Amino acid sequence: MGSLNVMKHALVPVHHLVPEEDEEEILEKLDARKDQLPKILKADPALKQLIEKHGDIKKGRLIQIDRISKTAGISKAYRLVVERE
Amino acid sequence: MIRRGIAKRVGAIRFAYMSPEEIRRLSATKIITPDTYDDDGFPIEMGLMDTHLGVIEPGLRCKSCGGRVDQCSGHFGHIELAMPVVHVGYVKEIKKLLRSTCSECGRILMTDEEREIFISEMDGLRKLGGDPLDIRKLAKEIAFTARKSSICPHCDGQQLKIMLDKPTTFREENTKLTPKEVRARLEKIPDRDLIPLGLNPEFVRPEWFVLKVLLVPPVTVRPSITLESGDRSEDDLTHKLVDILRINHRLRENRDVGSPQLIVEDLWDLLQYHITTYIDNQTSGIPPARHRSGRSLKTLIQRLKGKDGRFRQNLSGKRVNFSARTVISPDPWLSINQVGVPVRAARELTVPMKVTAENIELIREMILRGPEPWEKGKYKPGVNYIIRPDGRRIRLTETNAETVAEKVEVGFTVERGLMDGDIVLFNRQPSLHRMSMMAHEVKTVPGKTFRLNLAVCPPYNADFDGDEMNLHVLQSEEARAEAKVMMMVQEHILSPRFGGPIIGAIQDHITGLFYLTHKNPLFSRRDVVSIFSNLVTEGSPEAITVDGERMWLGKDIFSHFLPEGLNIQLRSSICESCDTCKKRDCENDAFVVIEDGKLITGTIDESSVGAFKGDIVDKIARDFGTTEARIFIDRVTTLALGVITLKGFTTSIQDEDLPKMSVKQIEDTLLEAEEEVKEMAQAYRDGELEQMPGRTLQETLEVMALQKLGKARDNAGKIASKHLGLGNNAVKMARTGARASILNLTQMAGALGQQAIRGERPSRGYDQRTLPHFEKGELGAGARGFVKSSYKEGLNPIEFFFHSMGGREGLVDTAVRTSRSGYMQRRLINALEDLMVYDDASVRNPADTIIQFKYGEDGVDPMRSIKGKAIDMDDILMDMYAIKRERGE
Ligand SMILES: [Mg+2]
Ligand SMILES: [Zn+2]
Ligand SMILES: [Zn+2]
Ligand SMILES: [Zn+2]
Repeated sequence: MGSLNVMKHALVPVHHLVPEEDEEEILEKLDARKDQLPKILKADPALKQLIEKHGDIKKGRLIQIDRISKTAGISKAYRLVVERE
Repeated sequence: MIRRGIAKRVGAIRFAYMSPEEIRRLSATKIITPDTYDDDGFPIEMGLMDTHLGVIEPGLRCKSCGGRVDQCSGHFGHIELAMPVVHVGYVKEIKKLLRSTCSECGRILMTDEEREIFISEMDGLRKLGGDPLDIRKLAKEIAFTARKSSICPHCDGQQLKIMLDKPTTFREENTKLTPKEVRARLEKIPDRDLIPLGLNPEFVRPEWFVLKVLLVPPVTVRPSITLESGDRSEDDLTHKLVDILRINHRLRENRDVGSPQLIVEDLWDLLQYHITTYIDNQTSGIPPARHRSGRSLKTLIQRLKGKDGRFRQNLSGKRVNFSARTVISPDPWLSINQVGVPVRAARELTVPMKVTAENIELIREMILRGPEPWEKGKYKPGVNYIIRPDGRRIRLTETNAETVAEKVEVGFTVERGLMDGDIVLFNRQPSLHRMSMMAHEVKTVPGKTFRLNLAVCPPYNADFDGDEMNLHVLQSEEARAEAKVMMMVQEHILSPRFGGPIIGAIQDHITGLFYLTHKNPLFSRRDVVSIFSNLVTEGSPEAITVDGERMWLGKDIFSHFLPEGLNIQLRSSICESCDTCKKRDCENDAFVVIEDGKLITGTIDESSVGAFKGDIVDKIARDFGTTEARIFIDRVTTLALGVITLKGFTTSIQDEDLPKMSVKQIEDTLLEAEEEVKEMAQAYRDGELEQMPGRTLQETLEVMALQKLGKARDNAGKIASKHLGLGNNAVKMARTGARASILNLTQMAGALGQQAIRGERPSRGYDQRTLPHFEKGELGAGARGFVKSSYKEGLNPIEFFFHSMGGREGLVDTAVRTSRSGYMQRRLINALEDLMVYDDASVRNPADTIIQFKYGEDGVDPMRSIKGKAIDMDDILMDMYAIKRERGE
């Protein structure tokens, strides 16, 4: 069984690792603290690909997801990296 | 931005059984005497009305907490039972435990290894978020395995069969087990053996299912009532508890003096009976305890269970004050914003008015008029109650009106009846979307029904075949202001569901406007006066002169009600979607052009003004505001009714008459198709049918037959349609979108066509055939539910049977669908109800965590979207051209 790269699937949106220096600005814009953001597991298959690219991603980092939307063009969503429990 | 956070959250709720110790600890007093009150009417100590259990009479104080009637919510007491008694609610559980454990040593009837396997299985289920129902099911299965062994693996004891004589007596083979013996057996079961049987020994011991102590509810739960005659009448629960205490007492005496076993046992059984009926008075197998009058007592279970029980009657649904419910009927003379309230209801429903220095004289006058004033045979609001600042209410009557009017001062509140213009909420169940409850302005009307404008039927999904609706009168200024701004009918003309109008013209409105505008007919002065006599409007439409007489064109009359500056182009419903649309030059007059509020070409029908589809209503609401849209709908619907009243309109079965030639043609088409299907079936049997890819041979036949017969029905319809033109009233309704569809007409005039069960031709019923009238294995059109007849001709019995099969499927489907989608929607609402869109368009929950970064990912309010899109480019361009035209560019 070959390994499956989920990021190449048409239904999986693009994930980016947010540079640490940009985090503050983004949280300011969202009017939220990190703990108020939706979470993404460090074990998420989407993160596996990012870890291969950027090296280890510590919990507490932000992930940006760009979704193509018919009405909004590109809609950005953010996720906070967490470890299980 | 300040947002509320959550300090604590309920993680779980556990219901468990109370131990005798816990009951005693909870108890405020032990109850021993069956007597309630002494001769002076005071509660007896250690009786059922002991003031340790709370108080129900004003003036008395609770001996447990010192509170008065409205301060103390009551305390539990307890009764020490002379002999243990089985709890009816747990007999099944007791039976399960007795059967799956050893009668000698009390161990579960399996080896320790087996037990541990089951325990780990149970743990696994719990870890996966184990649904209590699944856990109970597993426990039942384990108990079933255990009771199969007839010899105890621990002590080799022989196990006899344990039977339950309903409702509460246990028997081992032929010897009766007393509750005491049952309890002793349950006591012997070790804690660890309870786990595989579904009990959690941390919280419950099985011997508690056999009662030694009975919990007595506080008096506030079973208050006695004093009748007008001065006699006291006790609650059913109190009656039952008295019975229990009496028997308990006699049982103890007889046991202590060593009466014969038979007498003791009889009394013991009687105690069991009373406690059983105290818990559930509808236990099968025993007669229900009755009142002297013969009415059966309402005991604990009866208080909770069923339609009149606490849950359905008092918790899931509550009755509210200041509300009314009655049948609805239509009233085309009302505005869509109004609701007709019958005088009887208007008198009973009240609005509180604060008395101020400004309005005190006005209010005095109102009070002087009494509770039911009339003015020249017309309704006038009266005053029902006057409320003093200390909260005392005075009912206004004809006789005390004068004295009360004098007493009224600033600071009083007066409850007056409804009057025209009051804001109320109006609702029709099932309340599936927000338009199911809208704010209306009151208009008092004679009669006994609520009345509403026909254009608001679609949002409520109301008709007048007996539908009832609810009305709620708002009680505060804030509520009224909020309702007026957000809930008025006119604010809901556009639906958030699809970004188009949900309120608009229906049925006759559409037919009427078709008559007014199609091919632009002329109207005489007489006609126009007749049409306008029901309308409120300024000015009059432009006239033209024909043969020296002033005449009016239909389109000009319609234009009179369009707002100035309205520009729009659209295709009418009657448009035949020609290959190339000739637009303004359409010979069907099916292309609507409105320039600067003037209808230039086109027929006004459903796609212009209809509910769900009306583009003109949509545009007016969007560009000119909701008030303008309301006025437009109000006037245009009354206009339409004026026209259709003038013209007259009817339809009958003759509208589906066809010339003999066409009938013959349809017959031939159907026969031909039938023949072809017969050939197909033969080819299938001979194995000559060419199989379709991905389908079995039989499926191929079915698909081909359905195709062929579907086409045959369509062709029959086409032949019929050829003779059904716009001159035909039924066709008019179908084409304009007023009512029915062309399919309905072809089914009446042409043929009904194939009846389908789950999307397939009917195939079951008898052995290899649908009915005994056919050969086994027959696959032709008629044998598989094809109906050649039309509704007009009438169906033959076989066709009728197939048609009923399809009809039944439809009914079942709707019944299933409504319940299923209802539950789905309920779960959705429960999950989403506390989410809120904040002013930065983010969606957050009460814990202030972000659910969605921008509402709907685009931040667009669906109600303000144009059919779901954020902007409509064509529309904007058209407005641009209009502005340019105006400037002469
Ligand atoms: Mg109805
Ligand atoms: Zn108390
Ligand atoms: Zn044993
Ligand atoms: Zn056309």
